[in-house]
Amino acid sequence: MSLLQVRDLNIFFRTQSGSINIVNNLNFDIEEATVFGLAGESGSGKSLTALAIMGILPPNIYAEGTVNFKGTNLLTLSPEAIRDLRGREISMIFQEPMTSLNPVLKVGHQIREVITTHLKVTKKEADKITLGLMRAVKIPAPEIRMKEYPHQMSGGMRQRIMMAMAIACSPSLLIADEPTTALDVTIQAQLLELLRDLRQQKNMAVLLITHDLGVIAENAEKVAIMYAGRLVELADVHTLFEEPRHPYTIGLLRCLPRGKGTPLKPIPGTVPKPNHLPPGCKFSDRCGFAIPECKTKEPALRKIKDGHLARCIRAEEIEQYKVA
Amino acid sequence: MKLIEVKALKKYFPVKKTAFARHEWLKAVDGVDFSLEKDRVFALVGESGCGKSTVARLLLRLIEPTEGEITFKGENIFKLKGQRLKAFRRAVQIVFQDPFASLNPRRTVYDTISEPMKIHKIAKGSELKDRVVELLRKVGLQDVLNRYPHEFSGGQRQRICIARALSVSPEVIVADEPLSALDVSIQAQILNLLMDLKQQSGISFIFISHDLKVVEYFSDEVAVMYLGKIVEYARTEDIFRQPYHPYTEILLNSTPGIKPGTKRRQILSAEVPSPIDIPPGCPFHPRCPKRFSPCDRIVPELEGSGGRLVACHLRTG
Ligand SMILES: Nc1ncnc2c1ncn2[C@@H]1O[C@H](COP(=O)(O)OP(=O)(O)OP(=O)(O)O)[C@@H](O)[C@H]1O
Ligand SMILES: Nc1ncnc2c1ncn2[C@@H]1O[C@H](COP(=O)(O)OP(=O)(O)OP(=O)(O)O)[C@@H](O)[C@H]1O
Ligand SMILES: [Mg+2]
Ligand SMILES: [Mg+2]
Repeated sequence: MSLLQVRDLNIFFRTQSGSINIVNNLNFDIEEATVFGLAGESGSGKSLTALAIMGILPPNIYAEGTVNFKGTNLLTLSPEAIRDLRGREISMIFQEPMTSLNPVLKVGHQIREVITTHLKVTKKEADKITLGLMRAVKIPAPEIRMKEYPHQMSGGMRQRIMMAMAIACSPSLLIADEPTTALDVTIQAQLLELLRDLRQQKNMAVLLITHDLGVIAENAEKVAIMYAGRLVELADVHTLFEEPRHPYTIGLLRCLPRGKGTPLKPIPGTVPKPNHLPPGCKFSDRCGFAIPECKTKEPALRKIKDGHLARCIRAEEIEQYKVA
Repeated sequence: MKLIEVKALKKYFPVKKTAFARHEWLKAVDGVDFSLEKDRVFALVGESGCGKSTVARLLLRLIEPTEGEITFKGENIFKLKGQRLKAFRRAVQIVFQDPFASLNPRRTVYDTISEPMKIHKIAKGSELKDRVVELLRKVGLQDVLNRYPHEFSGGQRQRICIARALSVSPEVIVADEPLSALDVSIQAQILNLLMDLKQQSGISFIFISHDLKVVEYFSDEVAVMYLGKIVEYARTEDIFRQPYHPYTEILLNSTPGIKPGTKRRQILSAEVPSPIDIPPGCPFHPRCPKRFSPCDRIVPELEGSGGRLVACHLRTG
């Protein structure tokens, strides 16, 4: 059985005039000790999916469906039970560590707090584990830096602190939501290498959320592409990059410059807002391969071959689109 | 023709510190030389804090240099006054990273784009309106004159900023990370727009970016900055084919490709030191995998030939 099974996950935003569906019928599995990449442009619902799994959706947003983690549906767990899981079995790191670190507490103290919340250890042992974790995430001079406040550290160092907190209890699943987006490529490379090492040492599964297909290609084993709250393509990383079947995936790949002279073919238009989605296929208004049928009926996410799903009625003819 | 020449440019910011001295200096730009030719794109790259935006602000004369000069068509911009200053302010425009922060939320698109033309007395009345419509069409926007910034997406706002910069028919646009805040599909749209402007409107660009794939695609020449200095300067093709400076090489290898399973080959250790406390010798030596005896003592000069300059003892020693 998979470590995490997401089934028919729907996420809604409450308004005075009713609910707006933001994430629509999501289905995917994450296997133990693997990296699952979730990619898509801004507003596609990646972060809300992560927050729903963690059970920390903001008050005006709610989720329906099932999220089975080791056989337990997280969406029906009591707040106490999910709080106990969080940090111990599932943990999360965010794009901007500053928002999740407490600005008035020393970073060492914040790491120790995670340990003492979940593990029965003495203060001395907790200090020792804290130092060990700071070494594990390769923070230089940890004895000195544990006494620093978050604002005294660089963005890269703060993200390392977040990672130390996230792995403190050796969780089975780490959710990393754009963990390196705000950082220089050099620091991004360091952190992703660190993430790969930690994952192997701790045998963790990772849900890696990013809009950067390069980061996905380099780190993920399975990939889901999200558009307007829906999965539009799901495949192993090689298939996704080498034989993409959805025009949106192909469009995203074509947006990336590949040296001088090769013209870019941007996807026209912009991502629609959740309350202004077109009828039929949600990508049809921006799709260069759409036919009238695409604009009337929303296609299902269907099997192309084993382990490869795409939400496009023309997936079999896609070669024509690729050469066009 | 050289439009802009930057010569021995320095910008130090005072920072409060220590019991002995009143303040220390943060050397944001520490002796930079480069030039921009007409119809070209000159790119500045380097890690966060290396001084790129400070160079941009100096180029626009938004701040004064500590030392050195910048000439525009042969005249030192920091000495310009009156009409000449006004002409310079018109000829060199900037587009920033954050299209949200750089538009006034209470002004309509029409107000935003017509204002520079009013200031520079370029057009008025119905001609002004026609020009605004034409500029918007050029950047791919229609029927938006009376709308406000909050009604637009990030990409559309960046288009408005570009239309505003174009309104005064500039000769140079300084673009400081103009794509960084945008989604990939929108980045590609804006990049195509900039490409069109370069080819059709004869505008030259100083292009600041941390995305080396974009730099490779769009620029003609590249300068790599590290802690306020240029460490390598070359034609874009040359630098991407064969970087000379170990730092450039690592930067190029740090960008992930989109071939599954390929790992970045070199990972740079540690982080950039503080520009208040720049290491002696080559500023890059503490992180350099190829450092040898002179590197921690002697500052390498930026030297070379054939348009390829590099500041590294491995090349010059
Ligand atoms: N608290 C909220 N209230 C109302 N709408 C929200 C809220 N949070 C998110 N949304 C909306 O839900 C949609 C999905 O948001 P989400 O943050 O999950 O996107 P994302 O894929 O993570 O995007 P990004 O790449 O920008 O982080 C967006 O349209 C967003 O505007
Ligand atoms: N007004 C100022 N006063 C003091 N220090 C400043 C000032 N402006 C910039 N700096 C410092 O100068 C250095 C260079 O900053 P600059 O903004 O030019 O970097 P950058 O290369 O544009 O970085 P980024 O990629 O993050 O935009 C940084 O250390 C910055 O903190
Ligand atoms: Mg997000
Ligand atoms: Mg900057």
